[in-house]
Amino acid sequence: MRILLAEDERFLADLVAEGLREHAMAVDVAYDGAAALERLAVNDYDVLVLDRDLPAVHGDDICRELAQQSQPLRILMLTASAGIGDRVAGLNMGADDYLAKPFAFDELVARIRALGRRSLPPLPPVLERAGITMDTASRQVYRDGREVPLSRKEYAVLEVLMQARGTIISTEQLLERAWDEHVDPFTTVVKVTMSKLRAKLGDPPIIVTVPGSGYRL
Amino acid sequence: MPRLTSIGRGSVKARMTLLYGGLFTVVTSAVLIVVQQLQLRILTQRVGDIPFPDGSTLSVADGRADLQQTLTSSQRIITLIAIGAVAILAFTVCWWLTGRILRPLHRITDTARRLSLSNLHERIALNGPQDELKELADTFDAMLDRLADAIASQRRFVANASHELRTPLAIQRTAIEVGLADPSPAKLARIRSELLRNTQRSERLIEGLLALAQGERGPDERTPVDLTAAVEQVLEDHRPIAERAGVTITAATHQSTVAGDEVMLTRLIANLVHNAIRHNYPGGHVLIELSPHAMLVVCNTGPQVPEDRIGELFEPFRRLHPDRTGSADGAGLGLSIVAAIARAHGGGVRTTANPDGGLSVTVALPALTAVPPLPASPR
Repeated sequence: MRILLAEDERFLADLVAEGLREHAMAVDVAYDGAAALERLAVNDYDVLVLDRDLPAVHGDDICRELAQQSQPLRILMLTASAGIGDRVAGLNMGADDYLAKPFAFDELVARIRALGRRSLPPLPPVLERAGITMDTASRQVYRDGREVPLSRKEYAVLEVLMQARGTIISTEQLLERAWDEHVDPFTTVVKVTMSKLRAKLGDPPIIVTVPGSGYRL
Repeated sequence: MPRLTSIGRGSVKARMTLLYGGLFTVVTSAVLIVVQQLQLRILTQRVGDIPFPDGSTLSVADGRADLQQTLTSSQRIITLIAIGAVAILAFTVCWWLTGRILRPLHRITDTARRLSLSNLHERIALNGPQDELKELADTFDAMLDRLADAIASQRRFVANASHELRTPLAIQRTAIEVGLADPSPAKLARIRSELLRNTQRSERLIEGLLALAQGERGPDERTPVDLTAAVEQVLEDHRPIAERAGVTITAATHQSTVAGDEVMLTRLIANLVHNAIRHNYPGGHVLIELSPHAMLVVCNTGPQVPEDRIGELFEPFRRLHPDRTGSADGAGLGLSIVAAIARAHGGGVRTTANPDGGLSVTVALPALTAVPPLPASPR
């Protein structure tokens, strides 16, 4: 899952990004509104975690603009304005969810996951396909009832493939959705991660390479 | 209660009806009685001279007394009936008219009774002639306007204060939950310094909030405060900061004393000087003038401030140049505190934007030096 975190308190933003990466999410950080808009124009994100009081471009303006574009992107407002009026205003502006600071980090993760599931078509919290069961809440993966320990990146790659429900996912799409913006697009990191993932999932192989197109589960 | 209030409501109406109705009845009755008496006199003197169509006059002695008796008594009855009719008419019309005149008063009372914090936007909006009642209703409406403004600004203040307090809390909580979950020594050091900075920021904020509350409440006791000495003290304290920022301070002070709280007044001056140094650029300058009439002017070079946004500077937590990132300096309360302290000392603050950037803030306080304390003075 690819997240953009727009937050002007640098220390808080770095901490949240670090915590979300621990949960196998690919996180980009924007410290002001203009940077957030720039990244939104370049990359495809699943969820935007948006602080309202952003310098350069206000969070409300970003939210309104995105709501008009009717993108599949989900917006979670994360702000210190906690009054009922503020929450209502935020949701009416086009946000999909609203979380007030200070927040419990686990709740933030759970809410981001819930928003990620609401992509089209909606996804269940436990994904199942080709004998693999993936519990997105506890981040555990089983193959035929046997648990498969996966690293964060391997998990993220497998999640993208599971969510695709059998359609082909290109290397670029994998890079987009499982890695953040710091990855080198010409790297072999996808290939390496894929071979590790295949080895861990064991026989018979279930991830198919489609030559010239990408991967399919 | 509704019975009681309806009686209470009716009392002015009843009093006015009694007063005007009674007055009208008494005057009319007196006139009627006088007229009747005059007619009676005419009747007794002249009834014998009434000419008859055949040329003879009525001169039958016994018949004359009879006729006089009948006429007198019938006239008396007519007068009594007229007085009764006038009384009923007067009281009815007075009752109705007073009710009509007092109707706006009921509307004002109803509105006042209905109003609470949740529907403070309602107004009486009385239309009609410009009379005393309309004036009362308009005054009431104007008072409601001011009240609504005050409450809106208080709500904004609470919302802003909670917003400012929540951000450091969020940082602390996330630092503990995420940052300290699995810390390396290097990370630990960074978290420690960030948390410390964060705590200092909260301290400054709380201190600012307390100063604002104290400033709004005003000084407990007023003593003569030597403003000149206070300004010199503040300048002394701020020289190192100014040097670091590359800002030159020029001061022109005259002897001036005001009645007030020394700590608060020093804080007022310090806030102004601090702001003037902070919103400046290297090589810029700050000019401080203190007139003998306790007029303090702090003028600084700095970024352009649009004239129409000057009012916002005095709203708590407003910063015109949002540079919160990284800078824990200032909670955005400085000028609000200045305005509160000046108001509490019976003074005022006026701010103008300098044409080439920066601000001129003028604080006018009521001076004590207008009458010199020396008994031998010529005044």
